[in-house]
Amino acid sequence: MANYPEFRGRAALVTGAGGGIGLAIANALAGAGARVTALDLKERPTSLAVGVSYRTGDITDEAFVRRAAQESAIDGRLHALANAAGIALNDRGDGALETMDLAVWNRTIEVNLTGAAFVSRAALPYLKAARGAIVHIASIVGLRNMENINAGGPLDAYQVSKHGLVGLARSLAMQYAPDGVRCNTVCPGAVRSPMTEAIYRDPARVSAMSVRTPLGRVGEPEDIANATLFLLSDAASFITGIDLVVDGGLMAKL
Amino acid sequence: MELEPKLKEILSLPPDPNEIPVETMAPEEARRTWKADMAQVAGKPVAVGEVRDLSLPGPAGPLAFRLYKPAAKPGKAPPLLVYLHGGGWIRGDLDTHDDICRYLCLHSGCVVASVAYRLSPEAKFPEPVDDAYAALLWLAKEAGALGADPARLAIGGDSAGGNIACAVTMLARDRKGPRIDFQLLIYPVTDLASATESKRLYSKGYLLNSMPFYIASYIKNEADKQNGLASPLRAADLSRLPPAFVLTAGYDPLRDEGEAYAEKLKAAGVNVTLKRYADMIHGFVSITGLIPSAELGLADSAAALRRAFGLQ
Repeated sequence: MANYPEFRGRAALVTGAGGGIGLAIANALAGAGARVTALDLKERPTSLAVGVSYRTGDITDEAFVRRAAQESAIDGRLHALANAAGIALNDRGDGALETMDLAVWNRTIEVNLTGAAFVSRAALPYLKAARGAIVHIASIVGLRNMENINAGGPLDAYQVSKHGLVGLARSLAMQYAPDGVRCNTVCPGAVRSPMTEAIYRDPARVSAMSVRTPLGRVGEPEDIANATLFLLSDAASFITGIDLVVDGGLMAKL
Repeated sequence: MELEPKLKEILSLPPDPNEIPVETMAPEEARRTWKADMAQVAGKPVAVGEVRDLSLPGPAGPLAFRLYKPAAKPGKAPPLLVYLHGGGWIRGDLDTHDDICRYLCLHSGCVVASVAYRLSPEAKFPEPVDDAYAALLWLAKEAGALGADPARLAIGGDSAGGNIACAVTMLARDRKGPRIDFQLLIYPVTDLASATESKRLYSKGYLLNSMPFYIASYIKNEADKQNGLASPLRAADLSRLPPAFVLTAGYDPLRDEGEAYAEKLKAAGVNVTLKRYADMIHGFVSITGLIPSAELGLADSAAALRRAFGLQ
């Protein structure tokens, strides 16, 4: 694990820190010495680093988000924002656009895309003050279509929300480059997390995905946290507007 | 001790004049005929909680494995036994050892993963070892998803599978792989260059008649015989290997090398239980359908696993 001493004492804000990828990012930032504010709808996870300041709330509630962003900054400055909150409603009807319940579509876009937009918007003044960086956790399905993502079928709301995050990152990267604020995405492939727990509880799915993935395993939240910390760190100071794919080689395969 | 009476009777029958020696068979033919033969003599497949055919990523493509889960019980997830079938490296598969894996699963309470490593002569040493080690890594990592306890791991195998199991324990130690808590070695091949008294006495007429052919199919060259991963008995260092239960058969050409390996493990500070099934021949745990008393070897193996993991 790379060591980024620059995080020591810097303010960081992480959404979706109630489990999985967001939790791993919050813990990695805290481990690097950052002063982390973590948000999620869920209760504070017991495995979250003790020094992390945790706020339970909904990132689609703009008032909550504005307050959290303000409180996360130290002396008006925020160095790192990781938008990791995300949902996949495949068990509640996310699937093909033609037959999907519109409420499923709306809720998915609201959390995955609008939520990240709200948090970014609220955090930008503090990020500009710190010349900080944003990472959105998108997905390889934010870049490509993936066969069999949802037991053989599409996952349209999820896929569109993740494509939206990629577009948002690109735009923010261009708009705020003059302020020294960088914005990138990390695009995970198959990763074991509470969101995918129902999938990877099935040995056959773990087995099939391991065989399909060139590096031979399902990813862990820490794999995504590693890439995220890099993009948020000073080591990535010349990198903006990119999508860092962390998928064990899935996307490189035809 | 005398041979088990029924074995004695069978082994004293005149040889079948139509039998084709394995040395002259194409590999696929050897596999097909052996599979049919084994099905005749295998034990009755006992029921376990769940059996699934899955695959895992191997170094040269997917490897099939069969997962056996005991009936669900409350409390801690069961340990995982990674099992490597025998068959002289050239044959044997998930079906030929299905009855053994079911038995071990049911009676030890472990989750069992039986792995179809690549066979010789198509795959030569060390490829089958590489497959088995890759399988161990993946299975240990995914133990939780497979319904097993990732912290409790055993490896086992019979004959050529026992040989590969020995190699895997050394790789896990030397590459700082997963901690293996126990090894089950059922009449393992431990020395490809052995010239023992048991080989002299039992290499013809006691079921295992083609050991030189199996060895020649497995290795690339004579030097491989000196490699500790092919001939574990010749490995320079046997210290810090998992506690072992080693089973040998009285009338087995591999008896002496199995027992020598057990002694050498002991001398290296490994906790070893060695048991000789004095009236048995090589392959006896695979013929429990024919020789019911041969089941003792499996019963002892299951008991050893239970003891190793403190299971009831």
